[in-house]
Amino acid sequence: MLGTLKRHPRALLLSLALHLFVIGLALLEFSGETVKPVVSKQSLVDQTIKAEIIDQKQLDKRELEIKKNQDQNKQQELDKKRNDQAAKKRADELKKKKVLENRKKTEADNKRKADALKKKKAEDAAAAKKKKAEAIQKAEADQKRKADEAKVKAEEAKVKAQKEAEAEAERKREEAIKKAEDEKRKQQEAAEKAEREARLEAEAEQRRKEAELKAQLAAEERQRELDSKRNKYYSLIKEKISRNWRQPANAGDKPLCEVQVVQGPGGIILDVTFGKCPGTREYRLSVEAAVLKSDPLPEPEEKELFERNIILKFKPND
Amino acid sequence: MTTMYLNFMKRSFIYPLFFMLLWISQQAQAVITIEITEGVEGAIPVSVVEFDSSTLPVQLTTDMAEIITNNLNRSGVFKVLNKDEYPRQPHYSKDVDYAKWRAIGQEYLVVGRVLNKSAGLLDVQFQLLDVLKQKQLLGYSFPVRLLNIRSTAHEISDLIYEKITGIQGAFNTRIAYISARNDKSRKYVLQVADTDGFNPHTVLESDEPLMSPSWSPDGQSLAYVSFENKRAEIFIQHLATARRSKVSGFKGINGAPNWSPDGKSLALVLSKDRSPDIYIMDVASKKLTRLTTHRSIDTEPVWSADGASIIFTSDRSGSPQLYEIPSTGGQAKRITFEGGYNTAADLSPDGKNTVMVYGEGGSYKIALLERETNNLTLLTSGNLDESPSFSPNGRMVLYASTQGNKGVLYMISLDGKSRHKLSDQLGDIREPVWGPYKKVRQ
Amino acid sequence: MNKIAGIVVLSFLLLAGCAPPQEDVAPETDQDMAIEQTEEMSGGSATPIAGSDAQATGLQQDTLTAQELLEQADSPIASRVIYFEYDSAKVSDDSMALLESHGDFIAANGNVNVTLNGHADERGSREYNIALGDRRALSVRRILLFQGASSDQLETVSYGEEQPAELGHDEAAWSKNRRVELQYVVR
Repeated sequence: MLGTLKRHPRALLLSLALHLFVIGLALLEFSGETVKPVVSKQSLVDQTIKAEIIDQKQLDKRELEIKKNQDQNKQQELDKKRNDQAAKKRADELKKKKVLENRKKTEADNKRKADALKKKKAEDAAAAKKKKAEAIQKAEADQKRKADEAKVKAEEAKVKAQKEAEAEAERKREEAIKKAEDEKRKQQEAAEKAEREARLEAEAEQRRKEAELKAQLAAEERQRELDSKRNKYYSLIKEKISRNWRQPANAGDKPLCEVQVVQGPGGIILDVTFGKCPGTREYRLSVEAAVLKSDPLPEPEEKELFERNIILKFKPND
Repeated sequence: MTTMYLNFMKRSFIYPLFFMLLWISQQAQAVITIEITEGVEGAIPVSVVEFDSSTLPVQLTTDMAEIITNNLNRSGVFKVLNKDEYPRQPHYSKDVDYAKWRAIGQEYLVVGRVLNKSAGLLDVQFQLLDVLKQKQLLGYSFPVRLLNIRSTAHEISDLIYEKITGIQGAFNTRIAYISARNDKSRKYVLQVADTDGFNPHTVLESDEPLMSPSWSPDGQSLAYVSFENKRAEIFIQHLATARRSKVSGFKGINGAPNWSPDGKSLALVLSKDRSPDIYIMDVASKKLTRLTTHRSIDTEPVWSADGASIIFTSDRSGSPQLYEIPSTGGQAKRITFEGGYNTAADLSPDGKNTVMVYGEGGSYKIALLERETNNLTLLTSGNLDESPSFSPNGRMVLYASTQGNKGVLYMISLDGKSRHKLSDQLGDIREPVWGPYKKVRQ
Repeated sequence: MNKIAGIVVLSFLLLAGCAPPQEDVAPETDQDMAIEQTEEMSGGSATPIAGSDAQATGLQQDTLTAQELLEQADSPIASRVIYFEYDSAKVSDDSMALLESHGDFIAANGNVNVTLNGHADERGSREYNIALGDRRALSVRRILLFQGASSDQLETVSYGEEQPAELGHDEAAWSKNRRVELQYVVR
């Protein structure tokens, strides 16, 4: 893990940044309850929520309205149509009258006199009849219109009442919803907060574990380093003394010879004491000379590796 | 997280071991032990500064430092630094800058001076200094006559050698050898000299061959073979008085005298009873005891240091080999099995080693036989090496070799690594024998 | 060459014969040695039989003295050196013929004494070479005795490698040095 982090320092930064961001957010939200802009924002959120919920209601309402409008339009259209028809009828009648009059004129010569009366009578009768029909029609239309209007009015009143009731219900429901949402949000926030805290806790735990592992690894690494340096230190001593060990040239036993060396700071040899060391004086002196010639002994890379007392075991390989 | 866990799991097998090792290493930390198994074999680096003699009214012709230097070098134990490389020439320990000597790898330093003591008497002073410990190991003052200045240098060499090796030095002893003049005079000369070949004294001169000198254990007398009567006879001659007596002049061979360690008997070879055999003669009574009776050649007897046995050469197996027999008589036991020619043994004073002439493929070298292990090693590489003789401390072997048409003497260390020719040898020199210590030290 | 050598050897031997060799260098001879030597002398004096033998076999040459015969350069006994192989005391067939002649001559001349000087080459140890030279001399002695020479007439001395005939460190020199020289003395 450490290695991975080491290899990707940006990941660490990123994760740190993320954490900071999350912490930042949390801080913002906690303080948000008292800050106005957030409230307005929240109402904004509410509106959108409301909008969603209201959509269907409005849809119904709008449908009603549309229907009402459509009804009104229809009435108007009907009215217009009726008017148009009446006008047309009148125009047609005028036209017809003209034509008839024209015809009458032409025929008048023929008929006028004959028919003048008859015609006039017929015309009067027709006119009267038409008038009567129109009147009836008109009365019917009026009646219908009045009924329609009454119907519309009733409808409207009904809608209005319904609308008001609905609005009231809506309001109530909205309030409930809002309340529920608030509750829900609060719960959510609490949950989020808990989750966040848990996450932070977990992260902290992980960080702790990582740190622990890291420390452990570092300790091991350090130990390895120390061991390596210690080995190096010992082998430097060994090398130096070996280099300075001039074994007696003449034949003879070269038994194991133990020498205790006391060294001071800087590797300065303070004392050389023979332990078990059989063999000729020449051999012993060669061992002693090897140590003395190696004064000062090599120093370790780190002070803690320094060894004041060293036992040297001399034994030729052969 | 997962990977880390996996990694941990993987490592967990190694961790216990790791921590265990850690623990052990930490435990061991209490007393650390370092083993030194490598090292270069080599002679002890020592410097011998020229002795100061500037205060003497006469000029000293003997270079004491040179004598000591040659002695120490010849031993193979020391390597004396060439004096051109000396940083200083101190004569007193107080003038020694130890760091300088240490810097050039010296372990010991010898300084000295020759002072005027009184009429005809010199005061030779020397100090052996430990360069590494920066202290004096030895310091001596010798009141000596000019005549004895060489032997004083040898004595100083012995003191240095003993102080460092723990073994008594053998420089201040003497050697005897036969020198033949190859000119028309055909003179044979028995001589005694210092161990460096200097200071030769003639013991006997003859027109006929002289052979096989043997030192009496007190160093006062020599036994030898002389052909002065046209036949081999054994004589004993007291060196100081030059008094000599024939001790064996039997028919046939009278040869290879060898003095017993107690000085009372001579082992010798007589062929008066047909084939050459080993006899022991009581020097005082001349009474003979026959030790071997084999029909073959039995010769070159040498006493063991304790006098209990005698080693000799015999060709009873078909080729000359070394045998050992109790000096009181008994069964002879063969001790050499390697090579077709093993003769002329000499035994080290500690009885551990035997040196001999080892012949193989027509060449004759000096070989060392370790008695305990029966290990045989060749010490020399000549073709005609002969007459090996141990120094009284058993650390060196003196022998004769051939150079051109003349014999020369060499000294070689027991490991064969240090070999030095003795200087200033006139004539054809052969049969060297190393004499005993001059006196038994306290 | 041989003749000159013979004369030199003879004159030397004659000179040596004038005085007993023991007295050349004044030795401090003790009693035991004196006894030993007189024993040898007494052994040497027991020679009358050999002398008569010599007379019997030397009939054909009684016109010449032993001395004169020894001085003859072309006589069968003019050659007086027997050579040997390395580390060997075995007399070769060639040398056997020569030794037969010498044996005959010695047997025929009771007034003749011969010293057989054994030698070895320089190789190996000196005392062992003394023994080798001795063995060679004894080997020659046996043949001469077989031919009829009297033991009283014969003496052996080994010089080992001490007196090489040839200096040098090669087989050419060594083969000349592994030898027994016959030294005649006419009484």
